[in-house]
Amino acid sequence: MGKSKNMTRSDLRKAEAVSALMDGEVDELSLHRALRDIEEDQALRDMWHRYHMVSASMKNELPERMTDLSSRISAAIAEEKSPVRLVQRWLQPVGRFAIAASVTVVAVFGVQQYANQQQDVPLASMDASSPEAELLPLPSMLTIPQIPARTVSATQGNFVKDRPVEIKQTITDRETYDRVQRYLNDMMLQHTENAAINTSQGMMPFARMPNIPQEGR
Amino acid sequence: MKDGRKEQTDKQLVARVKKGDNRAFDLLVLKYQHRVSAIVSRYIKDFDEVNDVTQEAFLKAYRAIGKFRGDSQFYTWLYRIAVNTAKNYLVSRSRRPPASDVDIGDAEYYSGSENLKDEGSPEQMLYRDELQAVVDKAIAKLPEDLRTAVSLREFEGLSYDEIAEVMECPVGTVRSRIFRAREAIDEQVKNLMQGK
Repeated sequence: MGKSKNMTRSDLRKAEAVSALMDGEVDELSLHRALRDIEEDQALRDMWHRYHMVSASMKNELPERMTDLSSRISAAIAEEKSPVRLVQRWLQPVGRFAIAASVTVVAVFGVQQYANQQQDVPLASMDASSPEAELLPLPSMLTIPQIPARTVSATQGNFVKDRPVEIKQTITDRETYDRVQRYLNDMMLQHTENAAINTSQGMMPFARMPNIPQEGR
Repeated sequence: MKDGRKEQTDKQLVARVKKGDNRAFDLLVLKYQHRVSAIVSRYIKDFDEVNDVTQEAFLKAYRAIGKFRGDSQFYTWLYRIAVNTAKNYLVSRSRRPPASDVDIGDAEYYSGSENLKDEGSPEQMLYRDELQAVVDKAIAKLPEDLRTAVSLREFEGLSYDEIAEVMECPVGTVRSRIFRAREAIDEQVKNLMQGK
C-alpha cells in the first residue's frame, strides 16, 4: 500500500476511477474521462492490465504462461482501417457512382424532355412563315400546297417514330397533285442516277423504282 | 448480481469501438488477452502459435465488432471467435481439431498445456503459478475490511451497492476499499514483473 502514499490526489482519483471502471461502476461521463486519462498516462494503462490479470488470477482463469500481446495487436489494428473508416471507404466509390448515375439520369431525362417539347408542337399549326417550316426548301415552282415539316435528327427519330405525322391539309386539286408527283419523281430519278454512278451497286438503284412511270407519268 | 456491472463496462467499450475509438478496443484486449490465450492453448500447444492465433482472434473481433449486436456478452462472443480461429488454424495446418469443444465455463478454469515448455522471451514472460502465489500472499496480508470488500467483488461478483449493504458502509467507502486492496496487490505484482 506504500505506492498510494506516493501518489498525488489527482493520480489517486484517476487510479480509483480505473478501478471503478473495471467493475463497471462508472457512468458515461466518467468512462470518457477514464479513457482519456488511460490514453494520456501509460502507468494507468499498465495498471488496467495488471488489475485484470490479478482478477483473472484470483478466478484461476489464466494460461500457464503469459505475455502481453496488446502492443502487437494495436500495431496490427493500426494497419487496418477502423470499422467506421471501412464503411467510409466502401461508401466512397458508391457515392461517386451515385453522382455519376444521377448526372446520367438528368442528362437522359433532359434530352427526353427536350425532344418531347419539340415533338409537342402541333405540326398542323405550322405554316410557311414559321421558322421550322422554312427549314425545308420547297421546289421553287411550287406555291401550294405547303406541307408543314421539320427537320429531325437520328436521335430524335427514336422518340417520334411511334407518333404518326398528321397532315391535315389535303390536296384536292388534281393539277397540283400531278405537279407535285412529277417533281418528286424527278427528284427520285435524279437521286437514283447519282446513286448508280457513285456507288458500287451499278443498276441496282433503278430496280427499286418500278412504279415511277405508273404513278408519276 | 453476477458480473452484470462488468458487462456494462464491456458494452460501453464496445459502443465506443463501434464509433471508431480504438483506445476502447485496446482496453478490451488488455482485459481479455490472457483468457483468450488460455482458450486457444486448449487447441494449440506451441506458445508462439498460441500468441499468433490469439492476436488473429482479436483482429477478427475488431473487424466484426460492427456486427456484434450485444445479444450475448462480449466475452461469450469473443470466446466463439477464439475457438473458431483456433480450429481454422489447425485445419489450415492440416491438423485435426479436438473432437469436442471446450466448454466456455471449463475454458476459464483450464489449467493449460503440459507441453508448453519451450522458452520465449524471458523478460516478457509471466508464469501463472508465480503470479498466483504472489496474489494469494498479498490478499492474505490485506486488512480485513479491504480483503472482504475485494473478495465480495471478485469472488462473489457483488456490485458496490450490494457490498455497501453487506459491509454496512457508504458506497464511496466500498469503492475506496476495493481500490486500496487492488493497489496493495498490484504493488507486489509489479515487483514480480520487474523481477524484484
